[in-house]
Amino acid sequence: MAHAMAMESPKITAEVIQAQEFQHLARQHAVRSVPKTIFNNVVELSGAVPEPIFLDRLLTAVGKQHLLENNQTSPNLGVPSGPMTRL
Amino acid sequence: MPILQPQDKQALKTRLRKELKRKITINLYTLRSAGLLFLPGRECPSCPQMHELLEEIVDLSPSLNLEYFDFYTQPEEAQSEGVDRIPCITFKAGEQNYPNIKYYGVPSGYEFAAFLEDIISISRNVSPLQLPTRKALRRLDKEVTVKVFVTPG
Repeated sequence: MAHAMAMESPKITAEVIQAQEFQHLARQHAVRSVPKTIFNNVVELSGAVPEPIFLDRLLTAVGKQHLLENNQTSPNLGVPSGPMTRL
Repeated sequence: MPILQPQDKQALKTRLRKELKRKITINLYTLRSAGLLFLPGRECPSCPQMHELLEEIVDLSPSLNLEYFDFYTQPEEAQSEGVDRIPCITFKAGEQNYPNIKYYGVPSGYEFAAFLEDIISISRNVSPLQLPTRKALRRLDKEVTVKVFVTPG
């Protein structure tokens, strides 16, 4: 999903990082399970989540939540809906 | 020894033939070793596997092309694309560059499917995202770096 969003906007740089190959980075970002997503090193998300939640977290990282359309309700944050794998 | 199984190669070949529209160049930032000689601090244990996997993939379609950039002898290319470690993949479709879409490490296991979807989406220039998401992203005027940590599964 991160890459799909980067396709949509050149303002977004999306890096998919293999945690086992870049263990120092995984340690630096306290990755204990995957997928773990970090936006601008300030907002984090654990697990696979629906698109509106992912978008909400991304916009929160840059203080742009007002870009969400009015009919998009603020998602229930922090609850992964998809599978997670412990490292 | 090949990474992709023969039956998988055939299925991939068929899918790529049907779904690719624009020609895709996969840019691979890597370590092009001279034999078994590695300089300390410049090791890249997964680079050979990355080479092998991507060579097998581009062999499956005339619409796919692979370009190598040595991270240490071509630092200006890596720097201009914002590549700061290897192995790393970025994409180009026709004349359009996508330096903001990166894979660090081998996209194997579950990630292989996502990698394939990326190639197809970029080639078709069609977003899989919902319309409200696309509208919001088009209005985004601040830089965001998204790091997604994964494992092969």
